[in-house]
Amino acid sequence: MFGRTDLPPLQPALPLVSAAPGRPHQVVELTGGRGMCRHLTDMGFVPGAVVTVMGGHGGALIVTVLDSRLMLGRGMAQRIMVRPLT
Amino acid sequence: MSISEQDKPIVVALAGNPNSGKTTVFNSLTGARQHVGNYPGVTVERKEGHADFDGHELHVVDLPGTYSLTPYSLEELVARNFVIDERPDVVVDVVDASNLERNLYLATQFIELDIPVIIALNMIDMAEAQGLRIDAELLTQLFGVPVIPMVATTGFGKRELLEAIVEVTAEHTKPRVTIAFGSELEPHIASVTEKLDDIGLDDQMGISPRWLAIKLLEDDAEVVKDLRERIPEAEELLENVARARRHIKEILGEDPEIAIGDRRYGFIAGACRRAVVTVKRPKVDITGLIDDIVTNRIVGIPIFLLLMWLMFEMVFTLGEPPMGWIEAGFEWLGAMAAAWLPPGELQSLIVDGIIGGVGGVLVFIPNILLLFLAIAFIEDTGYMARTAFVVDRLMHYIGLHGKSFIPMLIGFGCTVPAVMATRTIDDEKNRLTTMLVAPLMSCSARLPVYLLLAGAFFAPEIAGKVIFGIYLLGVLLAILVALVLRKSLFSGETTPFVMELPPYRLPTPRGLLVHTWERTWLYIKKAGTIILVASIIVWFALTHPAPPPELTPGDSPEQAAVHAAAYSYAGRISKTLEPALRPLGFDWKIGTSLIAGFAAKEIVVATMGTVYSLDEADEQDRGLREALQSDPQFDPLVAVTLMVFVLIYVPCLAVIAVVRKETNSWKWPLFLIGYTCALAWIVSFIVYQGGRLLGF
Repeated sequence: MFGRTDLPPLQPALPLVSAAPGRPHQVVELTGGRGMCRHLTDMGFVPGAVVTVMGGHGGALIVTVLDSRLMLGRGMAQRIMVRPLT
Repeated sequence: MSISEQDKPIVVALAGNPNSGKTTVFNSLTGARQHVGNYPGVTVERKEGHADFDGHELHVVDLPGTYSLTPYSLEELVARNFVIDERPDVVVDVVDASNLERNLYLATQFIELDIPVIIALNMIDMAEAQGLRIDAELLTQLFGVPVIPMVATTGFGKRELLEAIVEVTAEHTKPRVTIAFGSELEPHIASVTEKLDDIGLDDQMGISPRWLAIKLLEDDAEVVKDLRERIPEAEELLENVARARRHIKEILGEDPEIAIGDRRYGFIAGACRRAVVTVKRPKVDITGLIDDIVTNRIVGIPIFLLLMWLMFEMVFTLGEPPMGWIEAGFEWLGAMAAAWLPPGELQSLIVDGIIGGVGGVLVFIPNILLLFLAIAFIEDTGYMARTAFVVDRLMHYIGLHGKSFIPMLIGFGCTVPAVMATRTIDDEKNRLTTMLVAPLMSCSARLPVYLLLAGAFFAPEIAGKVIFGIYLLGVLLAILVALVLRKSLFSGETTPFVMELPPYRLPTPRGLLVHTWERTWLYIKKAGTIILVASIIVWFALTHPAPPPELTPGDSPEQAAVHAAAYSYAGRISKTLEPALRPLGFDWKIGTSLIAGFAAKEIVVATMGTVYSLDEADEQDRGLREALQSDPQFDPLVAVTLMVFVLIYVPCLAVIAVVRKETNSWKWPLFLIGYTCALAWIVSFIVYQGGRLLGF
């Protein structure tokens, strides 16, 4: 048997809107339009950044990323792919 | 520095993220010596001020908050253009120390730009409260620019900042560090930089070619546009850039702008790991706790409505006593003038035109002041940002999103900054809708009308609620109109948005005072200028031409006054409109006030003040309130109808002007005038006729 079996398998990436609140996640990828992606990057959403969902309902989310608290409009949170931090 | 250099004022640009305390730094540096004007070609409040330090004169410019030098919104474009085009002597990047990594993102771009820049590490008190210890000295080394710890609200660090400004300007100190983007990106940056150098761009634009190269690789639309305009060889260069971008995407598997952003954050993270130490984690996250309550799905909106209601109650009830004093003061002034001046034109101009007109508006200063205080409080605590979240779900039903709500909230103070605030909305359709609907959020200039009429015709306990009802009606109509606009003229998907929620903080008394007073002072200034002029014009239109005595023999003084007014220019114009106004319960006197109100809404009250003052025979000297109460035309229903009409009809000239500027066409301002007048007439008709039918 080749390959390492002692590392845990990578958790699948999921859209931020489906992330469990209160648990830190890591940004994997930004999908969506170029301008919006750039803007997200300006605000701290860069691959590798740690983001935690703090609250929200009705589609809009409140998250923390890089020490700041942001509100993401509806649809936004579907375009940010994250992975739970183990 | 030569003598001539010393004499020239130092131009300091204050840049930084929104909520970083930039404006507090600005206020701290410039004190009361500020000047609000316009950026050329674009209407944004350009805040400039002066400061003197150590024999040097500083010219400080407060730029709109921005997250990056690649603009995403109009505000960011303005900030970026000032730095790039107007070349300030030094840029002070105000950074929120409690939010360091994101704030430093902009700083890295200033370093890339290779211009004199100072990082003002503001709010270190908040950072310390969160258990962070920041080594500013080390950051200075790592970033290659002076890093000055500050607490703008207390003045800590102010002196050091001023010293740094003077020194950096004198030595023209540029950043001592170049940010490295890694072995995959650097070769591309180098090759594009080389091509730019070959073209001789350095002399042309005076901007660091490396910065241009990085921006081109990021596909910055502004830089691309600039290049196309200035350089004939632009297309060839851009082809090279496109190739480089494709190559980067192949190698790194992500878009170049994301890769570049990633490297910037990497640099920042590396620096912060060394310079920032977490001493202890704070025990409790107050902002989080408050947000849990205030943005809660169930109680969020009721809390918001409660706060709004409290705000209006306060404005009305607390404002009542001082308003009475000012009113008495003006009555006394009017009586004095009437006693001192001989009867005739001059006396009438002063007593009826000026004192009656302007006085009628200045009377409401206490209420206006309280309103602006409440808005400043909501802004400064950070709650205003949360309102966007709270109403977001509702806003979606009318096809807008939460971010549209903040300009509307500002509209309760004044519609002009509300229209300008729509610049933060990047979706054009959304922005237009918000702009066209914002005037329905009753502004502070309309408030004197409500206070006057509600105060005259309703008992004090009820008056406040009536006014609240008017505001509510405005909100409901705004929702209705927005719905209609979105379904018809502006249909389409709304774009999603990101918005920062600043940590809650207790506003400093000084900050509140400055914000409140700035706007209140504008109101008073408006009274002293536009409204004064308008009052004089209105007085003239009401008293000329005077009817020759032969026309009205045997009139009592009261009848003579009425005939004179009807004979005047204003009277004749209003009389021709009277058929349209009568179904609403209005007469020509009200009509005159409404017409005058096209210029500014306070003039409605000012004009009524003049009209009814002229109406009185000279011996009597009642306040406007009493004059209205004894006028047979007026009763509570007419008062309410008039309030409704004033709520809706046409925003003032200043708003028309700013909408024209912001939309770059006459189509929308004219549409605004048209629909608001039509809507005002229809709704007032329903209120008046409906009211009469119901027996009021």
